[in-house]
Amino acid sequence: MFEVELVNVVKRFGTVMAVDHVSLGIRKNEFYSFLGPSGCGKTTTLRMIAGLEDPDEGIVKLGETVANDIPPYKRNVGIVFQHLALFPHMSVFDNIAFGLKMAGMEKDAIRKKVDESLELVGLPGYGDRRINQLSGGQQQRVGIARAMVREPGVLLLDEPLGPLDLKIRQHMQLELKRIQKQVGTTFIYVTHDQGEALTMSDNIAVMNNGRVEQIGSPRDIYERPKTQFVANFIGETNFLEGTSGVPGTFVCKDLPNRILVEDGEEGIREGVLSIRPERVSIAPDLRGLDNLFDARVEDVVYQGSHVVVSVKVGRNLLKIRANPAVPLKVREKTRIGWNKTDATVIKLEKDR
Amino acid sequence: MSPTVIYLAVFFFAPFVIVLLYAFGMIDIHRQLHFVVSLDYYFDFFSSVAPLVFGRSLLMALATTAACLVLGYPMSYYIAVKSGRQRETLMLLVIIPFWVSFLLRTYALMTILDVNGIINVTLLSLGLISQPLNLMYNTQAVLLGMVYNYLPFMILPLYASMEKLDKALLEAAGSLGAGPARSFLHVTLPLTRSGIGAGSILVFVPAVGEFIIPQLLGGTESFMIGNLIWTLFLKARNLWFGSAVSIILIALVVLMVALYMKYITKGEEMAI
Amino acid sequence: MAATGVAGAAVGAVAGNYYGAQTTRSEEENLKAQLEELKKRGALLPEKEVRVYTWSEYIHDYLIEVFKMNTGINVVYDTFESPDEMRAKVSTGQSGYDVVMVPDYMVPEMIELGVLAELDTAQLPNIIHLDDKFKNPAFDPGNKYSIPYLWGTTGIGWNSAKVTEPIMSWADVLEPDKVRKYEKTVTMLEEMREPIAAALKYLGYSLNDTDDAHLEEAKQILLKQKPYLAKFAGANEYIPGLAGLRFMISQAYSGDVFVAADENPDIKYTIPDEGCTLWVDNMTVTKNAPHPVAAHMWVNYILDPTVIAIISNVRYYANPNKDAFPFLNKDVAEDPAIYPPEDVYKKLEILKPATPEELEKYQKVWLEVVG
Repeated sequence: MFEVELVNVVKRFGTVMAVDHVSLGIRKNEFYSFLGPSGCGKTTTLRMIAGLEDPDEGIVKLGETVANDIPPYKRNVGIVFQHLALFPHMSVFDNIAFGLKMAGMEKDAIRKKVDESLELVGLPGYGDRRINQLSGGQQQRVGIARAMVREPGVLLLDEPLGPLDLKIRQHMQLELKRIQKQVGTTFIYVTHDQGEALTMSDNIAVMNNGRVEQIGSPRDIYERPKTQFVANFIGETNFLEGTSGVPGTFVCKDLPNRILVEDGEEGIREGVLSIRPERVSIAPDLRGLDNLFDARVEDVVYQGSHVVVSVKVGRNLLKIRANPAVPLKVREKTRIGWNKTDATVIKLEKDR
Repeated sequence: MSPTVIYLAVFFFAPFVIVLLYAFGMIDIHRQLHFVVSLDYYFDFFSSVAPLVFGRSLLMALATTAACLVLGYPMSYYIAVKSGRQRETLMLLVIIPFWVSFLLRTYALMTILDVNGIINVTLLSLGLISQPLNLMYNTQAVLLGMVYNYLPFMILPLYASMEKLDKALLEAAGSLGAGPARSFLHVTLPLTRSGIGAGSILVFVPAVGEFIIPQLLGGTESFMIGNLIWTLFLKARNLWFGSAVSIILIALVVLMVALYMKYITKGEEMAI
Repeated sequence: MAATGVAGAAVGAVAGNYYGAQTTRSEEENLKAQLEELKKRGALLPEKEVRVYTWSEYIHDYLIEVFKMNTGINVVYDTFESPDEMRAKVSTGQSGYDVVMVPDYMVPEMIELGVLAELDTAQLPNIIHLDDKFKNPAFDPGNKYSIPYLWGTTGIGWNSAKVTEPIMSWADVLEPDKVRKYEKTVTMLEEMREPIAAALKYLGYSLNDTDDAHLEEAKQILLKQKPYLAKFAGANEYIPGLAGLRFMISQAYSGDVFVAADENPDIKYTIPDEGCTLWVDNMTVTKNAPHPVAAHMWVNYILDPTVIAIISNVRYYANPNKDAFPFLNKDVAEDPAIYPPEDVYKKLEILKPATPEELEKYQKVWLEVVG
């Protein structure tokens, strides 16, 4: 049984289809992310789980219960809002205690729980501070504490780390992961930052234009993208257009040889081969690689830990990440190659 | 000497000083200035009907403020939760009466309440009453007139503070288990406190000194400070006592506002 | 002969249709003699203009035309809506007006301000026509500065269709038993002295009485009446109020009630049996009048019994001119609302200007009544 389940959920705003027949299931104790660009419907989906929006079609289930008609204040769901929405007229203590007060808990019990909560998020003793006296990162923690102190089954986080500086954000990502593991609550996390999603999630649902493009673990999403969008959105990739040939091969339009690909990806008449820059090797170290091609170096950009080399293969331009130590000269002829396990064949979608 | 200073000096300070001088008995009947201060007129104040009249005015002003709050709060809230276009239209409806002069609006109210007014004509023609009702010349009519005229002064600042309210705060409260009633009590109400304060002052202060509405709509039990001052200046031609009453009124209002500011409004906090 | 004929023709040509009010043949004849005098004097005058400032609706324009035509003096005739307006203009001393209409209560003030000239009675031979009651008033002993023009009373306006028993006296307005059934439709004047005057008259005292005990009695009368009043109202409220059936009974100025009666013929005016305030509007000459001689000519012209009679006939106000009676129309002379019977006439009093101490007494009473 899923902790949270969406079945064919649809949400329209006017004529715009914000959420387009989304179905997914989230298990207990999972760190589950909705990942996608702005406007892909991830926040709307999250809000429907919270009860802040009503689906036009479909079912939202929390555990066994169909939650469509249950108002937010009756759902056992905690929310950390994008801009936190901390109560400005209350102290840190009162903010965190709010949910417990609404639940009718006794004063002493509340005090105990709030103190524990502050410990958990790393802000012990901050109870008497006013919200506007806190830094961004501290406010984040208060937001999390407030949402979690009621021990909801599910915690929803809507891009909570957006406004933070890079270093703090990275630190908070680890903190969130730690807290989640410690308490064991199901986290549903919305972000547009693929690095963040890959770092923290157990499972990711990649969304675009209201639809779920792919659901999978970070590794799956990264190494086996199922759509062009996913391949492009997560990390960087190279696309080679072509068709599937006999099983295990892919014929690219303007490459001389057939490309060896993994089994199980036949039958794609019009497709693209997706191969990530860091999976492509450049001469001289091409031992044991399945696919080898002649190429010409077009451009070399130094990036510190690696160089990004643009090479021309046939009429395609590929981007490769290479060791900076390798000597490369522009216009030099060279060879490149990759293993068939490192590439994926995806159906071609026009206008992508 | 900037134009503003000159303007204020001539039209505000000078008349105010003149009133002060009269109140302390420093100008005599031939308009000569003497440097002797007299508190006689202030003593006169306490031995006359003036305190009773003051009490009545304060009560009416409080009642007006309370009524405006009770009526105005839901109205502002209703407008604040609407989306752009509807909001603009509704706010326009609130503001349009100001395009008509205050005096005309009060007269308009009279035509509704009058023995020949709309209410009586309708009730008579429907056969619900046989004699026209006397709806004017009593305290209720004055209260109605006051609330009608002052309601926008309550709505506008309330609306401003509600508009600033981050709706996400209400969603947060909901997610923490607060239903609509408790969200209102714990989030909306405290955060609109500044609006309530501003609106209350904007209504109370002018309402205390209101004169036209009791004059037009009120009866013999509606004699208020404004009427008292008017009578003293224009009917009894007692500039001294009239000035003393005016000064006492100003002092009282300033005192009340100062106390109010100190204890009720505690400072603004913005939603994050 | 020819000259008289021309004058007669001139009068005839101009007479008649001014503002719908007709003058009669006899009125015109009576005027002729007066006009002869005017013509003679006008020809000798260096001043060619006189500027008059008075209440609106207070004369028959025909009379202005006649004066102009026969003296050659141009009459600039300006009107005001309220005496406060007039006082504001004239008290500067630079109003530019020659003859100014001043209500009785304002005369002492204007004298004190020094804006009124002492009248030259040598230029006012017609002053002999003034009724003795109006000579030597308390507000201007000896008529040094003012000449009474028209007078009225402060009595009771009431709706004869809705009020079942005719209103005849202050008792009918002040006694709770009488006024109970008209609760909330009765008004008294919003003036410090008039309601007190009514109560004093009801009690049989003079309305200028300042005896503390009498004032206390008057106060009690008014306080007993207060619960039945709609409010204390001025002319701008009771005129439409009476006409529009909002008020049934109002203490009011006579002239105002006639205006209301124009709108609603049911409205009647009564001079109460116990007597009431008699108020007088007066002609004065300003100290800095540009045309003092023409001013006196105008005043003297008005003092002519035939002239003032025409005004009374047209405007339904009583005049202080004892010799004007033969020239008054019946509907004016015999209307008890305008000219009350002798026994009531005797009880009418002009308000005496009060000293500051007396004013304080009135103020105290008044505040306790309205507050």
